[in-house]
Amino acid sequence: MNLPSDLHFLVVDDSPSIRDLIVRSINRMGFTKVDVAKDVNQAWSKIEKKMVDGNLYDFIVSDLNMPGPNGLEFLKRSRSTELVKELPFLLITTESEKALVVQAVMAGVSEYVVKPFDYETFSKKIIAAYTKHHPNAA
Amino acid sequence: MLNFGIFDTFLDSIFVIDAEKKIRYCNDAAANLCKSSVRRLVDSEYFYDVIDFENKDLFTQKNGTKGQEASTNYNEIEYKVLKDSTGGKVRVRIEPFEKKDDQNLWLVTVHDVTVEDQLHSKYHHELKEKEELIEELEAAKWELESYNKNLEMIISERTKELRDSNSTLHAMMDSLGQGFLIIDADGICGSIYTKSCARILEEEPEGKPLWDVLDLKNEDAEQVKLWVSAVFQEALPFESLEELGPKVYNHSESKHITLDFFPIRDPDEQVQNIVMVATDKTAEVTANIAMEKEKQHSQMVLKVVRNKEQFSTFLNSIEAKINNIVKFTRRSDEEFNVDEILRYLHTFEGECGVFSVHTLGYRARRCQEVLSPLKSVWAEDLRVVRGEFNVEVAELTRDFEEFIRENQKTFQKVGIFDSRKIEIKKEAIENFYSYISAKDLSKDLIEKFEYEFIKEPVRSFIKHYEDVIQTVAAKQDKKVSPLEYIGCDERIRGDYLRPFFDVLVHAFRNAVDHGIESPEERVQQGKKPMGNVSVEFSEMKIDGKNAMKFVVRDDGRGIDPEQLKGKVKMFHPELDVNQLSDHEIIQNIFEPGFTSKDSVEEFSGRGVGMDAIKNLVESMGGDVMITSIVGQGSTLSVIIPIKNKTNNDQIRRAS
Repeated sequence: MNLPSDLHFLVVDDSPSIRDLIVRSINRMGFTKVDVAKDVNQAWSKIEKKMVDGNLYDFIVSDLNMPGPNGLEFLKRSRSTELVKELPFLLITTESEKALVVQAVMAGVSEYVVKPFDYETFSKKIIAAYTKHHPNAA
Repeated sequence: MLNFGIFDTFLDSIFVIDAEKKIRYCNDAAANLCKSSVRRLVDSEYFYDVIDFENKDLFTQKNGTKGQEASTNYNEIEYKVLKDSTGGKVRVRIEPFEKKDDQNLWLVTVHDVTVEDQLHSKYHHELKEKEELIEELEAAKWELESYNKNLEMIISERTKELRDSNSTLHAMMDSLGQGFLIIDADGICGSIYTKSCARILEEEPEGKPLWDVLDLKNEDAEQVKLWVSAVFQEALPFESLEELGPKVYNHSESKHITLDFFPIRDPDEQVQNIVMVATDKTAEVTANIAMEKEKQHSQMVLKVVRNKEQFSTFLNSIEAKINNIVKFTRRSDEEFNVDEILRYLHTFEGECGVFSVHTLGYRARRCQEVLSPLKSVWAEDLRVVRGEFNVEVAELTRDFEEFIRENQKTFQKVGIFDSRKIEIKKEAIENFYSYISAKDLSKDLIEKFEYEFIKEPVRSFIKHYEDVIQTVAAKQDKKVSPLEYIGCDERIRGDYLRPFFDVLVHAFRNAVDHGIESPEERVQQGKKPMGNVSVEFSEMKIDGKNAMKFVVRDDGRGIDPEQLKGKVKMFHPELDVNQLSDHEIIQNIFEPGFTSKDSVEEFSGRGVGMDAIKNLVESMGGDVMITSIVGQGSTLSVIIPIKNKTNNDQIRRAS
């Protein structure tokens, strides 16, 4: 399963340690281009800035439970914004948030992964989410 | 040309011919028929030169043309125009005319039926075809009917087959004891479900929405509704969605019901239905909980055994501590010092943890939790909190009582409730004994010391045989009363006797195996169904020497000398067995390899047991004997000289 190695990731999580872990996992998969944001608002400004330059992120990884707008709201906004709505979106959740996850599923999340997760599960979900939006990547 | 103008406009072909068959007149139609013209034909051509009739006899009936006086009927014949070989079918009629000018004339009417004929044969052909078709259809209809009948039979057979296999499948599913049901895209349960649903999900699911069947309300129900939609839309692969679904059903009787889901897909791999399997895991969960409890209990016992002294102290102190905790509940509000109480409880909880007394530790934590609001809340809640605290303390007291009750036996066995004990190496005592024996102390004192600290009760050396007896009895479906001890509280120096006690086990085994009969046999003989084995110890003097006497008795079937005679003969062919007394015969039981059993069994019959006892006892300078009364029981007597300095010398001198 070969994903293009220059995919540009955006990781959104309010906890620095989790953010770090996610970034490391993404690096471990072979992707070096990773931007981070500590909340949804910061994430949007990064997305918008990139769009101004004529670029777009290739993949969004977001925590569900965050102060301010949460991951679900972020997802809904993404899915109703041109261009951004095409992006693979991976949601990071905990066991107890399953109700919100189902809502996220209905809102069009590409995949989700439950904390704590191991690297194998994480990489499988990244690939699954990407393949969903780029079926020819297989 | 003769004037027959009247025929000019006739549509049929009219010829008038003379005796030579020359055409004297013809109309346009006739000329057309001959593919010629009137001018060319009349008065120049001969009839047969122009048309060829299939039937040449037309003009030669009876008397030939010349003599033809009668008209002919219409004859249907084939004709051919000689000019261009076209042809067809005509009806020809020949009518003799009246003589005219002395010439015989005949009127030939030719009615072209070619088209008619063609149509006719066409129609005939078509009709034939249609008739054949009708026949075929009839035949086909008949086949169809019989096929139909066949089909009905096949269908009803297949339906029966399906119904049977369906009910087998159903029975199989029912027998699994799990609740199966199927839901559609609206989350409604279908008509296929197992009987176990009634028990496991507490209702029949047919026609009801899943969230109702699972007794979910409000948000939970909405959540499941949404989940079902997500699954059927396959917003994510089923595997990813499965874990977001309802996982358990809250049974009203606290049964632990787990739920699993599986998709049924149509030929296009779309999710068509979802199967839900509800499994009653209560037994498993209960077993796991019981296992955990067992583990914890074992941990506690282990700790207790390792730290008997400390645990004993702890146990005694628990009661005091719990009493103190109860006293807390009786303090006035002013004196109710939350910090102090919490510290006390915390220490108590810690102690319980050290000895793995988890129930009490847990209860102590509950007491702390109940009080913790007081650390951050105003006094008016004090009443409420104290009320709750009192409840928890009462539970604590109850738990402690139950704890003692439940573990009473264990503690007794381990000797927790015994008066204080200390552990000392036996070596140390022996050394001390040797030390004081060498001193010039009163003999009484030394003997008393020996009796108290060196010697041990006989019982302590043989009480483990209790298990042996019961094990053998159980395996052979026999019942034996607990081992009876007579005189076994006497104290002896037993260390050097260990080999003897080890070998003595054979006596107990044999007592049950060979001696004690099955309960039925015993009752038949008027005995109590439970057999009796006893061991008696006494000290005696033999030839002036001190000796110990061990007697193992059973009230079993005894030894029958008659039955042994054959075996004795085998071992001692030189003996005349009939000359021996019963007693002598019976003593042969001690012969090596002697067994009255024909096959070697688990416990005895190897002929080693008794032989081993005799061997060992005699090597110690002792003696063995066996007596028996058939039907009443057997008695094994062992006499061993007591080992002390005086005796040892005497024995050495004797041997």
